[in-house]
Amino acid sequence: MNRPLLQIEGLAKSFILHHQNELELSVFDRVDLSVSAGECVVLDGASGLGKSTLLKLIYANYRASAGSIRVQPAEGDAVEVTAASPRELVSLRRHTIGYVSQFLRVIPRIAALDVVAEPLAEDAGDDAGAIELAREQARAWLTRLRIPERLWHLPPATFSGGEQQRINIARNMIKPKPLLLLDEPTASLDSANTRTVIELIREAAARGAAMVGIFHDSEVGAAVATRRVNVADFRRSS
Amino acid sequence: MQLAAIIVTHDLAVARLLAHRMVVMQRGRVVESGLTDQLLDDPQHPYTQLLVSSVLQP
Repeated sequence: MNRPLLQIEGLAKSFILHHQNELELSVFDRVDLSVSAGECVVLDGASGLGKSTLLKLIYANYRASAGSIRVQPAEGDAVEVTAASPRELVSLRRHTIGYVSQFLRVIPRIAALDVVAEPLAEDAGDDAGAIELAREQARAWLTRLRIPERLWHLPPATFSGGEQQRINIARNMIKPKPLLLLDEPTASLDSANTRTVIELIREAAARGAAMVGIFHDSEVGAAVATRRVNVADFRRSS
Repeated sequence: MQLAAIIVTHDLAVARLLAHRMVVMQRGRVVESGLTDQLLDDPQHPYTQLLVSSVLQP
């Protein structure tokens, strides 16, 4: 279980704001980080230091200024995220990298149950049995995350913040992926659901997922971390 | 249905939800292209930065 699923070397990121007199905002000068199967690395550091930025770089939502990010899919060779084509990145996100943010962003007017089942249903194609299996699993996730059954067939747009966040967790964890990026997945959850998410993260580690997470709740961070890293160490000025 | 689609829009929220890839054009030339969320969240070209910063958060 020691194979690194994520290997970051010499990663730098700065933003150049062309309409603010070419202002350059440097976030990282050099990130070196390796995460193996079964590990949960918790990112520490004050707000604004770049914890979310690092997750977004790994997910290829932000583009690296320099350096290398390699991700190992379940099958095949490692993918260099900083040089991958858009199609390779779409495939990598579909099969290899999960990203749980604080906010749910989905196509309107789709029932919560289908929103959660989608990552599995997408792989099912036209296979009716496989689609039903996906919905069965979605029901199990909604139950475990305490979403009342009367809400399952409603679109999540009108749900509370905490309910939407749980839909987001279910949608992004239902398909087991080798690498999970967690950006405050418990930010607006009550204590019972927070405990459930801690269990889910531990179960993911037990099945061999590699995880990188941000948790402002220090108890949650302590409960899931196998290692802690302070992002301030990735800046030259630190 | 295995359809491929090209959408022309200024509605960046629609682009984010529907499109895998995005191409930004200015004066008939492609100035930037990539994953839709990359262009919206980390625009590199001055025109893309202007475009994204001119609308409500898509």
